[in-house]
Amino acid sequence: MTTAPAGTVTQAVPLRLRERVRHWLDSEPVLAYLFMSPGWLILLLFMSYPFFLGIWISLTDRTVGLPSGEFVGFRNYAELLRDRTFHLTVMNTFIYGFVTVPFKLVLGLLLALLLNQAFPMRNVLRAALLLPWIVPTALSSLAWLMLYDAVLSPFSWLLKNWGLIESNIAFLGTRTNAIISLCIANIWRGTPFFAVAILAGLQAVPQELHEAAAIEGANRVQRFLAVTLPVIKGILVITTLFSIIWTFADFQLVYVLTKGGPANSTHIFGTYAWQIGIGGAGKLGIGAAISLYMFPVLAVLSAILLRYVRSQEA
Amino acid sequence: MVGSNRLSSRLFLLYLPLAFFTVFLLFPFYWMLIISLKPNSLLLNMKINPLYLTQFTLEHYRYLLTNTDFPRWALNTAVVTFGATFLSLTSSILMGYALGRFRFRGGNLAGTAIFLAYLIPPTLLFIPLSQVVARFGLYNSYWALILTYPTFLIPFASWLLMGYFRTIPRELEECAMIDGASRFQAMWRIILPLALPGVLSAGIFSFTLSWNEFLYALVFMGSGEMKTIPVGTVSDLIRADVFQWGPLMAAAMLGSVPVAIAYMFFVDQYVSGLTAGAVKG
Amino acid sequence: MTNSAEGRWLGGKLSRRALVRGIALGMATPIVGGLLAACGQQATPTPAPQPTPTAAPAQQPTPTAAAAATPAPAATPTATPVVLKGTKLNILFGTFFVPETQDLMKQQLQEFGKETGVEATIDFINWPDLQPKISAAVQAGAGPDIVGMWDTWPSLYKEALVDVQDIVEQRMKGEGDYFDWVKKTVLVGDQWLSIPIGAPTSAQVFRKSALQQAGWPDPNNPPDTWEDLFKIGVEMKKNGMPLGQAFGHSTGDPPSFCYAFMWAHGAMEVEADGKTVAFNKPQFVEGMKLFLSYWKQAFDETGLSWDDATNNRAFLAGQIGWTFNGSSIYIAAKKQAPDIAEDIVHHIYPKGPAGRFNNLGSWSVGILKYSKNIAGAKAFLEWWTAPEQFRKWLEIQQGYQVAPTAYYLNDPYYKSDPKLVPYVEAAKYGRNKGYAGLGNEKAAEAFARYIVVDTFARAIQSGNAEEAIQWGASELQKIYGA
Repeated sequence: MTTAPAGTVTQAVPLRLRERVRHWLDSEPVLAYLFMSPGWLILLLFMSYPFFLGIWISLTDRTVGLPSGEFVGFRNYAELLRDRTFHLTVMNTFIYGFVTVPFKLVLGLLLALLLNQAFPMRNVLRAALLLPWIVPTALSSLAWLMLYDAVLSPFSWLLKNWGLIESNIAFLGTRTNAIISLCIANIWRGTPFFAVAILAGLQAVPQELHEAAAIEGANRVQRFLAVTLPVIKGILVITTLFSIIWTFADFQLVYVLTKGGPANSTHIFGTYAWQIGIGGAGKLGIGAAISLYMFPVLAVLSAILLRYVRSQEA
Repeated sequence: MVGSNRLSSRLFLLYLPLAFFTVFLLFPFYWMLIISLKPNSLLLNMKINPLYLTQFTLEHYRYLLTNTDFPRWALNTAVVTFGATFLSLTSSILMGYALGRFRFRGGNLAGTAIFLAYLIPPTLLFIPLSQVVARFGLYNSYWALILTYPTFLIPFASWLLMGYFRTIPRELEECAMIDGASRFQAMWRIILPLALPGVLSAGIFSFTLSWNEFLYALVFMGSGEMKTIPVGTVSDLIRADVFQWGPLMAAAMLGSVPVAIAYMFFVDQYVSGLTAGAVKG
Repeated sequence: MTNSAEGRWLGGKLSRRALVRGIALGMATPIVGGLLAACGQQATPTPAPQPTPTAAPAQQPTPTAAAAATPAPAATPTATPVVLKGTKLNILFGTFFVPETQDLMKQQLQEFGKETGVEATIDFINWPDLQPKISAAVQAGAGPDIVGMWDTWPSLYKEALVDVQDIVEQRMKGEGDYFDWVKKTVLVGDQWLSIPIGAPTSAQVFRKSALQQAGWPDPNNPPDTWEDLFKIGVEMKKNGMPLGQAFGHSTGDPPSFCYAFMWAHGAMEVEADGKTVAFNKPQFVEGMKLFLSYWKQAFDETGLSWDDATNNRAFLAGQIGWTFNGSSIYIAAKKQAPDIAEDIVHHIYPKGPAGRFNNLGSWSVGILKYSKNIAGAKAFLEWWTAPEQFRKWLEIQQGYQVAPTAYYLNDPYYKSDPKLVPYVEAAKYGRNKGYAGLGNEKAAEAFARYIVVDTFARAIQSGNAEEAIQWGASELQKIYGA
């Protein structure tokens, strides 16, 4: 799985062969493919088959109780185009993704910049602020369920206690409330992830450049834009890109908090696909089609961001 | 004068924002802590402020540790997490290095292809994947998760490391190679240590995601003693329409605080250890 | 402990892998796989696919389709121990509200193990996770041998379940016929693919004190019609004890209200033909308007976000004076808050212009075709559903689970606590999802899409009864009309 085999081989054989192997191994394309092979092996074994099978399922009328199904072409996709709940699902997913990702990015960047400075107890705080991301989502979602609960919510309790409201707030009871509540919980969970990725990136920023810029009178913002940003830009884009994908594909938080309710108003791709495909209706074909509708959207989005990354490198 | 100016700038630019983040990020966590310590009899008592504890109890922790299989779940989670993290990180370092450092035909394509794997959400993928897991005879074994988690860890970890390797000047490695070091030596001795922050953050990423994962753990493992912390707690502590909030939140605490403490050392290592020395060199 | 379990388990895995390979090669139908497993699964890592003469007498290398279809007559208790010794069984159930139930079932498995030599294990998982787990197992062809299912699921998984007609017939011979709501939700066409085990019922749960305060004449005799309920709800809400009802996406309590209210107002998802949608009925529109006119005055308005568990805590926190629920509120109150338990009065579902109904479908246990120990699974179910065992299981649940036949309903645990009697009585008014059609996969789909529940949620949100019911009717048309 690692580079070890290559290393041991070279040590065991006579010098000339060893030289040749070494020479061969120094060739970039050979090494590149060699290095990529363990990762690819895993992805091919555990990803490619399910990937294509997933696409195949979306073209059939397979149900959960039936490990096969009739080929129906693009019927599932066509059916969804006429499904009003699905339209709402698409819209919700976009809202969910495009509201939370910028927040996570900006907050994560700020947090990383803050945590990169020197202050007392900083290592404790660095770890503590990662907690939202470490707590198993299955359990932290339950904590949010309580925080938003119609009975137990401490927010409602406080507001009531201060005389600001009469009865408990239905945090998850209307579409607007529920979407805002879901976004906040998602931002809470995702911000530390951005912070940790960016914090690592910040370590590659040359300090002397910063100092030089400071001596020349650049202010914080200028220094950030001129010195820090160019170094971490690649990591910012990659992190954002992946975060968009995860947010689009999110499931657990929405599933625990609303299951897409009330009246289907908070479904995102993941929960709607679940409701139709796995959880009850059992229509795997349509469930798969719902999930796969994300594919072109994310592919286009990824292509744009990736092109950007590469143009920066050239 | 200068001193107080500096202090106020630190206050506004550092401490206040930090305070904001602390409150925002740790409030829900504080809530979990409170619930995990609150006696059941007070949980539904709406006359007292739910945000502090008038009495506290360790009963929920005791229950979790003695009446459930929590220690066993923690062991399972640890085995799976370490296995999956090791596997993903090793493959991703190599992959990231190849993609970020080498010029070869198909490099961009390979990078993009890895990415494609990500565009199918696990909520769909787990059904076909369960067939693969069954076919390999891995059902309900640690390997089921150790081998499937990398599918969602490798893509991001590789990309993160690729980005990271690219921030390290090429000359460093070329110098070493001119001095007679092989590719491997240059990579192992020069580049990897410099990339340590990236490696550690990819490691933290992989570790956390494996630690938290729910769906695959439920479907591919999840029988008998082979449960992870999230699956075990949710299965054992939610009974029909009744949630055992105390033990659930106690599980959230016990399932995250040790990890956070471990991270404390790692994060500290990569942040303070390297800024001063290595990159300058 | 863990070490030995590990070792055993590794052995099991190897043979299982070999078997899976065998099946993948087309060497064996699932039935053969089951028989093979019955003899070959004793942790011996022999590659099983090639039938060797020494293997076991039970092995049938060439079963005909007919042999596979007819239920194995060998499943009589006397014959089983020989074949079953050393085989394994894994059972999957949803969690039980009464925790002792799970302990009892583990104990029963041990007893069964002692009698037959079958090593059986059982897992209980959170309700929402049960179906994905079964679905993945069916798709993968590996997983638990026996699964506990909710109503309508036998239709959903019909291709994957083993025919258990023989066991069901034996039960009916001994304990009498099943209730109608049981048959309508467990039978698949005319086939028994799983064995009914009854279901938890629900009823109205009142705080007597709240009724009294609101001026209801006899708190021990709570309102009996929907309209009376709404009317007294207004008074109760004035005193800070509103009616509490969930309308979120949750599979228990929201449908309890919505299906019952729909039926009581003359509407149904579909006619008996299973095709003609009968949802948009004037009486139902009127009923919905009545409900909407009381929503703000009588109900806790956060109900749109509630799930199955919310009303339990709202009730126990003293925030609501009425809800629909299983007996879990009362049983929990007996433990945690005896004063509230004392103050509770239960009552069957209210009447509407079209009658009194509640949504009821039977749980059942079935065997998956991919199981390598079908014989053992059958033997277990035959043993476990027999009155000696089954009665213990019902008893420990303190009446929470209503039995599938009348045979058990006179048992003391259904009578000992007079407060729980309405839960048993509820069985008389039970109607299945998808009524007047069958509780089949279409009913399952309508249910899983929350169409009836969302009709109410939409009506509450928009205040427009006609529009919401039209929406519901058109969604149902897409499912039943297809």
